[in-house]
Amino acid sequence: MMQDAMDDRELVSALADGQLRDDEFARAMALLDRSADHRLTWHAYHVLGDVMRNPEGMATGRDGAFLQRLKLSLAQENTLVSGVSSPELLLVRPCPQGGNAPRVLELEAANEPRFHWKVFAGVASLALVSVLAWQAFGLGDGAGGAAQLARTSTPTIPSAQSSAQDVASATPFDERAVLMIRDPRLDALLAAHQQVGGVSALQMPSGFVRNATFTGAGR
Amino acid sequence: MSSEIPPPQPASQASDSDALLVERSVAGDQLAFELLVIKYQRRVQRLIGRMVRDVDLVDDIAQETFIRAYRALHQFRGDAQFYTWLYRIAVNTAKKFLLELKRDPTVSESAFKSNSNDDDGDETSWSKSEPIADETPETLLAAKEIAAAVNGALQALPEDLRQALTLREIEGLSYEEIAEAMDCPIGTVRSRIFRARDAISSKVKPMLEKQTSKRW
Repeated sequence: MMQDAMDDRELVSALADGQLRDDEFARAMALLDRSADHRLTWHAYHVLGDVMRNPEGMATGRDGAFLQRLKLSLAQENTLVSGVSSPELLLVRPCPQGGNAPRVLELEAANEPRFHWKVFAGVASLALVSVLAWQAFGLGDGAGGAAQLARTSTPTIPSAQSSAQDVASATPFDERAVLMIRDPRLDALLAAHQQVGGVSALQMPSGFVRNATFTGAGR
Repeated sequence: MSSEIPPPQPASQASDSDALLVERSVAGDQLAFELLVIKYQRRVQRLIGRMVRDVDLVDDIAQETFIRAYRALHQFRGDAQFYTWLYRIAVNTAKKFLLELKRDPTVSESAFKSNSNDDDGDETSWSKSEPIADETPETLLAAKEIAAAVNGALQALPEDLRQALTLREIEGLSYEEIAEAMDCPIGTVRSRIFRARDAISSKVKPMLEKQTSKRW
């Protein structure tokens, strides 16, 4: 049994020197995974090497706390990576001298992908302006545009619910659906007006509005 | 036996081991990454301690260094030694941190070291006698105790064990090179290095366990 323990420690020593491959490497990793004593052995082997290279000594008193703190950070890191794809900033703010509050400093990993907010905002603004210009262009595009605006495809007075459904189901650039928010009360008034007069609601015999009379498809 | 010992070479075998540990870390084995942390933690802290005086800041920067390394592990291609890669991350992290601190008017200049603006260069160019980050008297005493235990145990070793370990740890020779230098099989080199470490670590482990107060 003592020989087995020595063999195990020898395996850890060989691992520290990069001497292990394949099965031996896997065996050493399994050993370190299950045995805290062998992990302490790994720690001790590297401390003695550091001391040999630095005769004035190496402070080791913070080693355990350092690793525990790092493990906690890595656990949080793994949680964030599994749930959110955006890069995570570790906030570290230097605390006043003598304070014991945890320090937090705003740092981004040097290799973290950057999300260019300014570029995104610019592109979004441009897209919005384009849509608005498209709409304005469609509205001001001669008398035909106004007629298109007035003309609807439904013969009956649509309900508010179906009007909302028309808008909701419209394609993004279906300008008629975007522009034509139907008001059933207006439709009713117009229909009644048509029945009564059949003339432009403006009561003005002007050529340019002659074609603007509300007729509605299918009426 | 060759008439002269070849100059120290990069520890390619150790870097192979590091590459294997990185590979396992990328695959999700966090223990593998922790082994790398334990291996290089003090070296990274020592490096940062030459730039920053406050020992708590050193730890913060070292933490951030390892976290950045962990995030970027998949980018480590193994064409350079792992520590070389880690060294760059540590220096860049420390520099960024120092820039942030220097912009903070509430932080005094005493937090920094005079060489904090130096290019990273080679850490061996810094004087080994230059004090690193200010440690507490307790940690300094503990460090001295461990150093004394290591040096005392090293001197008590049989010559062949001490020579094998010295060639490995200080000269950085590979097992093959040590075998050639000591005119013995590689298996014997492995055994001698292990027995030397075992003898020394038996003195050091209780002190480490007492200092860290808990095993990881």
